[in-house]
Amino acid sequence: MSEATRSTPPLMALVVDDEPEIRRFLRTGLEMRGFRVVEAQTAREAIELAVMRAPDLVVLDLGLPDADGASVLAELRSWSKVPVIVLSVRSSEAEKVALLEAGADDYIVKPFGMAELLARAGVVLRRMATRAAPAPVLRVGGLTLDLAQRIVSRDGVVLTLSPKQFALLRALAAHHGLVLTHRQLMRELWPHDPDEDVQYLRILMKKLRNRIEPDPARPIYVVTELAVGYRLRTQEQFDAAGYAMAIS
Amino acid sequence: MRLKQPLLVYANVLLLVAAATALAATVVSFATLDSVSAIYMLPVLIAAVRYGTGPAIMAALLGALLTTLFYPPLFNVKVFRLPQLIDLATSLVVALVIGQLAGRIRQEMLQARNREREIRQLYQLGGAMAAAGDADKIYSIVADHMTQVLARPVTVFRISPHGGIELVRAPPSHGIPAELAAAIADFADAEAATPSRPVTLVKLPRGGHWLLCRLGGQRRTDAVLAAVLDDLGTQPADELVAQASSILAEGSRSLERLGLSKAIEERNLRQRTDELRDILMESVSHDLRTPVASIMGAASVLAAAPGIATTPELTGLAGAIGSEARRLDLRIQNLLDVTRIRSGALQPRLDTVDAADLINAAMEGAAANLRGRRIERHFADDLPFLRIDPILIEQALINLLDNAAKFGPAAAAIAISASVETEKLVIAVRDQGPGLDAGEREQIFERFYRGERHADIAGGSGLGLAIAKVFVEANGGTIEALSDGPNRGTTMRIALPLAADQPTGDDDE
Repeated sequence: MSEATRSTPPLMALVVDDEPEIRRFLRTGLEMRGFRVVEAQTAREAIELAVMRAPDLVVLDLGLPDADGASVLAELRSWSKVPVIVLSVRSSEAEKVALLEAGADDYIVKPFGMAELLARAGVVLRRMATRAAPAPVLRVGGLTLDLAQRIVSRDGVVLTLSPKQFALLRALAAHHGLVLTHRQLMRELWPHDPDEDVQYLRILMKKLRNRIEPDPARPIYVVTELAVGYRLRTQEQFDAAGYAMAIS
Repeated sequence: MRLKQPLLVYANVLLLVAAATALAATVVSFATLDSVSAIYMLPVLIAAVRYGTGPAIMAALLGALLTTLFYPPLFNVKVFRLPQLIDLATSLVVALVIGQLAGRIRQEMLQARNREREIRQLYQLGGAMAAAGDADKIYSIVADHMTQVLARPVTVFRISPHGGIELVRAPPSHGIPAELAAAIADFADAEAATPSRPVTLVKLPRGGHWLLCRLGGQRRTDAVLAAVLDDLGTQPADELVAQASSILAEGSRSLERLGLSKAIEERNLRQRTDELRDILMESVSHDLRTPVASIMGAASVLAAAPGIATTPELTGLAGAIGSEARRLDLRIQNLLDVTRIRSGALQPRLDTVDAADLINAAMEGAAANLRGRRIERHFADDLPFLRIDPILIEQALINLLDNAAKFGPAAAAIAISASVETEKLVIAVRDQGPGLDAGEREQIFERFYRGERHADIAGGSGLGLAIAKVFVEANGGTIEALSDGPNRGTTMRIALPLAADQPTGDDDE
């Protein structure tokens, strides 16, 4: 049982998908984890349920019969901060980027297993709970981030980061476990000049990895979502990626 | 208007003069003689207007002669005196002037009628050609009109873009001399290079004179019409050439229009095909993959369900349903990729990508198939940035890794290496599998190719390497398969273009 679902009353998830079989396994899987589930088949229904039932989590499919998921997201975001996980398809990276920048918290590519979705749900829900008071110290594997004291250490050894490198790490830590697109990071790091060349960000990322990663060519803390953005792994994500670690 | 028989004309003049004499005879019984010469002016006028100067002069002379009959004593032919001579001179002047004028008017009327007929013909020609759906129909319409205008049989030769000449219409019982083909080829070439006059006259050593007419657009001759002109002088009548030219111009314009509308039609068709393909791919993608996603999701829920999670056999089954569903999804993705390649819809979205990120993503993508395998990584220290479509190249690399996992023995390592060689990043995937013989090095990139020597190895659609090759090449890269020979392993090497902008060392910004 995840800590997110142990609280009472149970969390409510809104599942928006026009495919009944997809809704069915999502409902069963979420209910097994202690969620209460409401289902919507259309964009209109989704908005109505979001208003009336105030869900704690929205799982949103992009292909709806009456409107595309992006417009549902836009409408939702105009008045709600409810965590949204988008169900996407491969080969639409540009769409994923657009949705993340429009306020989606994370995405998951179809087909996916329930464990993957629950892991993502856990991350977005925890972030929601700690948004007001972020944890002062983050730990991922051997990496420790003390954001208050601006100390980064790996396996007990304090690392020296430039202010910009630290700012990048802090921006990723603020969305711990979630993907940030290049543009989102650019806005965070160069607020006066967010349209600056993305190349600066890539180079900065390379330098950050050179400092914090045991093997910069195979990052284990800050990972790349190809063609979308970067993600600072949570401990759970770090553990789940254990297999890749076994590659010598 | 056709010219009347001369004899008939002069007979008519005689009748006119006779009528005038009858009138004069009637008149003199009531009035003075002075009116008689005026009466004889009437046949002169009528003859001049209707038949021209010659008949008018005859009428004038006859009139003058007969006038003398009416001077006293009546009905005696007398010597011409001054008044009669003046009458005669006046009649002749009137005959000449009116005859000339009438002749000119008649001439103009004739021309106007001819022009009208030509215009009507051209108009009909235009109408007929507008309705023609293909070039051959236009040739035949033009040939029909030319036959009418020239009053001779017309032969049509089609000129192919490569200069070949093909007889498409030969009138019956009409010999075509062998030298004509050469003359037509010369004419078609010369006229296509510098279009001047669409009509020319050639004299063949043994075939007599031929009129050649060209049909075609700018710098291109589509067809040549030929007519033998043996009974005409060396130069065809200008009028004939002018008429032929306007017919040819109309024909050429129609051909141009036809070409244009054909091109537009083809483009529309292609556009519709593209749209249809996109819709089809989208719907196939959705219709096939949605059930697969449901199966995989449901299996994953079952695998964790109480009662199953505690029974290893059942969790194994649920897991198998899930992993088979994922495999099916990858197959569908492969098929869609091939469709995309085949239909030319593949358009790389180039982006700057860290080479290490790319390789790591591919290894993660292939993780399910690499599970349990020993992987050796040999990366150069600082891998460069690439300028590629990350998604396409990631898929190509996944396919190479899948292939290595499929063919390499389970106990042997799969090696992946990356290094910069002559301005390219070379990524190599090496397995310890059955290797390749000389012929297979190229064959393995063909669609649906699966080695005969290892047909027993299960799975695989034979599409993976073909897709990898197309994806890599679409990104300006190259791919090759190397092997020391059968049973000595295979190395797949891809070389990818570097980004122009590379990071410098780890200095601080």
